[in-house]
Amino acid sequence: MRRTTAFPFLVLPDSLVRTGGWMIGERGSPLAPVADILEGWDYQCDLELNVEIEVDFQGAADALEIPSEELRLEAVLKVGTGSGTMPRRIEILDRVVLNSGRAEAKLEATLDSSNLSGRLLIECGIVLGKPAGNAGGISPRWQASRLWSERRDVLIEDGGASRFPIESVSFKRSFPGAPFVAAPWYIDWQPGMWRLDFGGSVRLYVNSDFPGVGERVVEGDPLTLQAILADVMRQMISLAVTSADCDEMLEDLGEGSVGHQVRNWMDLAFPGQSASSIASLAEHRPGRFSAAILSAAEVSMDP
Amino acid sequence: MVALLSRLSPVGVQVVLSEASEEPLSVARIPQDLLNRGEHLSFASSGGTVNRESAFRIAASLRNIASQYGFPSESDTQQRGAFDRDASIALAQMEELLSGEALRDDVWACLTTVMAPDVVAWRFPSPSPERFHGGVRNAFQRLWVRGVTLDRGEGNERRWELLGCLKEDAMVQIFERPAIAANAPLARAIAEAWLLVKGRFSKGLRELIFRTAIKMIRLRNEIVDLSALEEDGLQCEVLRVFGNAEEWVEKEL
Repeated sequence: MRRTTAFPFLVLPDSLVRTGGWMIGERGSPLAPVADILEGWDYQCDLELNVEIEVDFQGAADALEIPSEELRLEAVLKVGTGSGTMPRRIEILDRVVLNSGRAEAKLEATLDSSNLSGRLLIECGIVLGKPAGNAGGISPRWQASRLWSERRDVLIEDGGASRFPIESVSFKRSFPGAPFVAAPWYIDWQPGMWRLDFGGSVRLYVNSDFPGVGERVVEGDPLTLQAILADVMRQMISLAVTSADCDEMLEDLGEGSVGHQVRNWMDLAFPGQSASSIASLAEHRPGRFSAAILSAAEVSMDP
Repeated sequence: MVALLSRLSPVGVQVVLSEASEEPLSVARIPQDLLNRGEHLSFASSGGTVNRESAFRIAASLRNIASQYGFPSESDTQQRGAFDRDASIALAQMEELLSGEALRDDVWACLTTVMAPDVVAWRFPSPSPERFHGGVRNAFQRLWVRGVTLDRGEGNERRWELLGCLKEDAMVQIFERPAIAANAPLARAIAEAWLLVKGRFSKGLRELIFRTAIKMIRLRNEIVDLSALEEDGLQCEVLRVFGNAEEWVEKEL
């Protein structure tokens, strides 16, 4: 429990409370231990989380100087979201009464990810469920007196590994009249935006009018993903290497930027080669240039 | 499906403000180059649908509300207060803002700095940078937070009454204290209690009593988890604190 507050009443020492691990994951999937960063989250990925808690009840009664038969505790699971030292929004999502007959509980919650933002602050706390009649002189006397807590801060966006931004849309509706309306996919990006965050600046639109493509992407069909990734790599590498100062420019860009990603792809597809030699290959041996990128795209998908 | 809104990085806010520092901000003065390049602007990488029009719609709605209270001409305190109330109500109900996107500072930074800086400059003549950067003092973000927090819920005949019962100083006391602002039931309970009790205090003492009560609530919340109380219990507790604050102020004066 955080000890920044000087409590005017007795509280529970950590030794009397055992938490059986904090688990989190996508709803319907096996949960994993809570870590500092939750990979793969987005607004459509609803979450489940749980934590098991067990109190040495007799020890708690002694520590709080409340007869165990009168002691009523409540375990609460709170989840906060939004950036800042304090989350922008905190809610209690589960609560369980603990007494001498039930000293352990599993607190759990399902999180609607569309309401989450940036991070999760998960707190498991124990408060006084009900004031006791025969409490000691410095025993907690107010309902909901804070007696113990433990928390985890989990980053869910803005710093986790970048994910390739993908959106499934009908090209006929979204891009009517465009010459690529029958294409299976379209990569939206603007040349020259090398400094920008890759995840927020490059977007792959998968054509939902094109039968089967969206399903193959979702299912992770290797050939489909390889072709798409190679297309992105080819577009970006082709343009980057035509810049007069490509090597210097890409060296100067930070992790997570478009340029940094392009640099990584160039190193993967054309190890040890300068931008000018890659540009020369693209101009004089376009077949080899493309095949090298296709090959690198396959390598990139290896776990 | 979540509407993904455009985001402006803190650096982007600085760039815009520095380039527009010479004259009052207006949409026309926002460097179009910034928008065209998309520099400092981004969207969430996945999880919803990018809707480039959403932010423009929100801005247009705010501009429309402002125009009912004198925008773009100069306004008085009463007009600006009325704008705050109406804008809070509008923002709290906007479909595009019913998601985690509205909890992001960079989304609000974009709305204020890129989409409707003219409304910000009208609402806050000579606005400080914090009115544009995302956060509790962002010109529109603060109004959205007030709206969603003090909403009594659809179907309530006096759904938005709480927005009108708190003066600006009281709003600041609640919504610029993170531990209170993050706890919507507590913030709402404070507003509900104030509505009940403020009539018994002389106008000259109201601000002091409210400030004192907020300090007491914050301290109480350090040792008692007020969010763990049921609605009735929380209301009683807050009312009790207002009584204590009244006693304390009377004694001190």
